[in-house]
Amino acid sequence: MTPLLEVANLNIFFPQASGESTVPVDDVSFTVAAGELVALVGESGCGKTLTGLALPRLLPRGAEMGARTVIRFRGTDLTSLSESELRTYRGRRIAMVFQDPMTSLNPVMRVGAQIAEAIHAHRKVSKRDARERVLALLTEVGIADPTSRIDAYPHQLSGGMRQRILIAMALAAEPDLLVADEPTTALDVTIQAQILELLDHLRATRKLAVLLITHDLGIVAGRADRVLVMYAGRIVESAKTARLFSHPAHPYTRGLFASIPRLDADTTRLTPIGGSVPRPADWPTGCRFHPRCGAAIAHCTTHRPPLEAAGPDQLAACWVTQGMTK
Amino acid sequence: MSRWMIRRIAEAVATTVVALLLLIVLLHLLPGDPLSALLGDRGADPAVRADLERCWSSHRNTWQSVTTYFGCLARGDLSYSLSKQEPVLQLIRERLGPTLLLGGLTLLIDFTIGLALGVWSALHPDTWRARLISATTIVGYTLPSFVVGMLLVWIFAIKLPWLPTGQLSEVTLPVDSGAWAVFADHIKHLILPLTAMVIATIAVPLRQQRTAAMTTAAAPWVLAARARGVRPFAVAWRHCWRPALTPIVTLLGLWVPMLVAGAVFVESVFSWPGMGSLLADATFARDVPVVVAAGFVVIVVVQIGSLLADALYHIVDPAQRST
Repeated sequence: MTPLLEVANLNIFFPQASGESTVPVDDVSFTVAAGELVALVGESGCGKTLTGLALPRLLPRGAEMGARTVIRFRGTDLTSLSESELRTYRGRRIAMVFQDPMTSLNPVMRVGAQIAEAIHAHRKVSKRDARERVLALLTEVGIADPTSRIDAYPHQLSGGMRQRILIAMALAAEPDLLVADEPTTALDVTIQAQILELLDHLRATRKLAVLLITHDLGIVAGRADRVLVMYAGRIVESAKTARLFSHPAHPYTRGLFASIPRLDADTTRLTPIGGSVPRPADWPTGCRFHPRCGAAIAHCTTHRPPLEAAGPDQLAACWVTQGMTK
Repeated sequence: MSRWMIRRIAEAVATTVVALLLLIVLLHLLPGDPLSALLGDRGADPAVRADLERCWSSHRNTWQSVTTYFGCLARGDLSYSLSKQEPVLQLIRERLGPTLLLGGLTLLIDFTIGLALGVWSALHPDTWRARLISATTIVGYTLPSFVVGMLLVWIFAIKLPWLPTGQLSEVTLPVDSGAWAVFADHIKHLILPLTAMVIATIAVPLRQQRTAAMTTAAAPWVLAARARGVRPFAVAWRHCWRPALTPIVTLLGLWVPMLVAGAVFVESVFSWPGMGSLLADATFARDVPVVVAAGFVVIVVVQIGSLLADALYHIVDPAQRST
């Protein structure tokens, strides 16, 4: 079966006037099957947000994609499409939910009208039918009293409600894939749980595929089918969720788990990963994690490790886990 | 009408009174007696003189000047022009229309073409067209409006005799000309002064709008709209332009005084029979009754302008409305 989305050799770079360019996303490949929830996990600045934006080709001004990059959606390579052709995919096939519900809504437009925009952009419908659709969507995302909220302005709604509005907006044109970039980061913990529950519910009822971009392994557990771990612009590990949590293969993934507090262990101190994420301009050679890695050997400093099998349904890009010593 | 509106109107009335008070006091401080200068050695019938000085006289003290003038105003009496030998009210009636026409059209062009060019420049930064727009408008803004006016006259009325040098209409136009010919004649006379006014003023709304639209173009909701598949035109219109309108309304309120100031120079260059040239002529002729009355009209128009702008605020910004 061909996957819903297939990303191969995704390269995103910002050409500089000096001729050199920074490459914040370097040779990223992954797939998302229909109805699957894939989590893309990494720290700030690892390139996960750019990866998400690249899918519907919404990269910021100045960013370019490499010539070998392929983004195949149901067999169509999106990198070869024109802007107007892409518009038929945006919202309709691939929808986005962004991190900040405060600023992702136009402050001078009624929320109902903003949701209706997504319907009108892809379908010829009358205003009244669109309004009916919007009311149904508001109900579906759990907004109480949709008839009074539909004509509200964003500032009249709470953060949680706005995030529900953003989700309704993303669902409006019935997409196959939802790219949710840190959808709960800006929310209170209790609201976070509600929004995640809503996403789970929608996934189940709509058979929606989701690419969940997050820095929070806690929301990945028990929710994602597969996890992609990104570090410094590259995918360093990819595994089924249960496998990743029980047997993390890459030293970076293991470091991430060691830095999370656990209830089932008598750890008194957490072990953070030493150092900090380097910026794209000064990414190390070889394995990019080697300066922060306790297991690094000389080979790691010069040679880039390929993603190779590290267990059942598990890939890791690490020379040491692949059996190399000294 | 809300309490806010009532308070705002009271403010406007108070501002008008204070501004007029200042104007009267300043004019009172000027030395000399314009009426005696006008009448010369011959003097005049004391009855005529008293009538001409009923609202304004150099022989009163400051306090008397203020009270007599406000008294006249309360009776609707604007007195008599010393230089034009006409009732001031009559003069203002004739002159207000042409100024509102010129000023209104300038406002319209500044806030339609100016805003559109501003949004366009914001969405296409770093293109040669955007740079050209920015450079030419800033040159126009830097040049004094009367210099722009004289340059236009020199090029389009003298070197290339395409358009008239001034006035509202052609004196030689036959009386029995059809409505269309009269209209066409008016348009011909309007082009140069209007162009001068627009060149002198358009840079400000254009740049303000460009800055505002650049901010909104980078806003997350614009990306969100694009991610929904919204058409580029609708993105520019609804998501970049509409939210960038708030600072423009503020500017609109400040715009009427700008236009009045511009009108004084441009109308003088083009002998445009409006309030601006009336004010300029009256100032040179020391025609105090006209200066005060014209000043009063300008103050009132400016107040109405800013009042309307404040009311527009409530329409443009939903967050203002619910408070």
